[in-house]
Amino acid sequence: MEKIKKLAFLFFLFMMIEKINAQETPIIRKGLLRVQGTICTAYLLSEKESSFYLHGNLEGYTSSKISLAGEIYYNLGNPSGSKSAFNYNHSLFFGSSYHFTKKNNDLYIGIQPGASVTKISTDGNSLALAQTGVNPLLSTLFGYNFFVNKFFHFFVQSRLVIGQHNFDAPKDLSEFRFSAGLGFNINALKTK
Amino acid sequence: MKIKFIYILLLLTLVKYSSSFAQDSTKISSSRSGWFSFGGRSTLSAFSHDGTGLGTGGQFRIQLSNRVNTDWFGDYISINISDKVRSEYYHIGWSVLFYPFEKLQFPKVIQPYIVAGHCFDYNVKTIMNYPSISKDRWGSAVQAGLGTHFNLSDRFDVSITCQYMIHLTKEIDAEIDGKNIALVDGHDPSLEGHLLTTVSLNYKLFRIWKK
Repeated sequence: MEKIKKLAFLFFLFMMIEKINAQETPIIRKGLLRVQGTICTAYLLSEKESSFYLHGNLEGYTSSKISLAGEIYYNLGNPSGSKSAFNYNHSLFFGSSYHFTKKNNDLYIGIQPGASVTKISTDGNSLALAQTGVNPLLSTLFGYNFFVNKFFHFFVQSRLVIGQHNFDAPKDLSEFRFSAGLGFNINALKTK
Repeated sequence: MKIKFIYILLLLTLVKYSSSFAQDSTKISSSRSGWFSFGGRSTLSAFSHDGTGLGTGGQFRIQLSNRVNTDWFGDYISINISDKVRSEYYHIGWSVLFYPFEKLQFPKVIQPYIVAGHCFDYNVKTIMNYPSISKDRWGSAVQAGLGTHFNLSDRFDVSITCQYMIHLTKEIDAEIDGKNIALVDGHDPSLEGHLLTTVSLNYKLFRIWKK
C-alpha cells in the first residue's frame, strides 16, 4: 500500500513538473502566427508629401529567429485632402525578418521585395490622361512587437520603400512608412 | 526501496526526454540533396545601355548534391531611360550553383558559390508620353557570376548574387534627340547585356528525395 502511495506521489510530482514546463512555454516560437490591420502614415520623400495607408500583415514564425510575412498597403490619399502626386499608390510585399527576442519582446529587421500599383494624378502633372502601372519595389523594415499574451501583441513598424513609377511621367516612389497598433496572434503548432 | 524509486524517477525522466533526443538525431544529416526551397527576390540592373533599374520576382531551388544546387527564377525589371522611355524586362530561367569551397559548406553562415545559367527574356520599350508607341522582342540570354548564401537558420538563407547577363538577341534601341524619340531595331547580338545584382530570400520547404 505504501509502495502505491509513493508511486502515486511520484506520478503527481512528474505531472506537476510537466504543467510548470507547459506554463513556461514561450509565445515567440515556431508556429506563431501574427496578424494585424492598422492605419499607416507615410512620407513620400521626392514629393515631400504625407499620405495614409490601410496596412494589413500576416506573419508566420518558422523559428524564434526567422519569420515570413506578406503585407498589403491600400492607399487612402493624403490627410489634408489636397492635390496629390498620385491618384493611388497601393503596394504588396513578401519577405522575411530576423528577430532578436527576449521573453515576450521581439525586435526585428527585415527585407521585403514587392510591387506597387500606381496611377499618377493628371492635375498636378499636366497630363490629359494617366495609366495604371505596376512597379517593382524593394523595402527594408525595422520594428518591435510586445506579446502581451497568447492572443494579443502591440507593434510598431517602420519601413523604407525604394522604387520608381515609370509610366506617363516618372516619379520616385521612395517613401518612409510607419505603422503601430494592436495585433492578434496564435500559436498554430503545439510544443513538442 | 530507495533504489527502486530512483530507478522509477530515472525511467520517467527518460520517457520525457527520449522523444526530444530522437528529434535532434533526425535533424543531423550529412546530405543536403533533395531540398526544395522557395522565396522572393529583388534585382538591381546596371551597366546596361538602358540605364539602371529595379526588379522584383521569385524563385525556387532544388538542391542536387552537397556541392550543386539549381535555381529556377522569374522576375520583372523596369528601367527608366532618360525620363522618356520605359524599358521592361521579363526573365524566366534557371541557373546552376556550384559551391567550390569544401570548408565553407552548410551549416556555415557564409557559403559562397559560382553561378551560371540560361534564361528566356522579353523586352518591351514604350515611350512614356505616348504609351501606344512601343516595340518589343523575345530573346534568349545566358548569365554567370558569383554569390554567397547567408545561412541564418537550418532552413532559411539570404543570398546575394552578382551576375552578368548576355542577351543573345537583337536589342531595341531608344534614340532620343531632344523631344524626338524613336524606337529602332538595334544591331546584331554583340554580347551586350546587363549586370544583375540580386538579393533573394529562400526557405527550405521540404525534401523531394532523401539520400
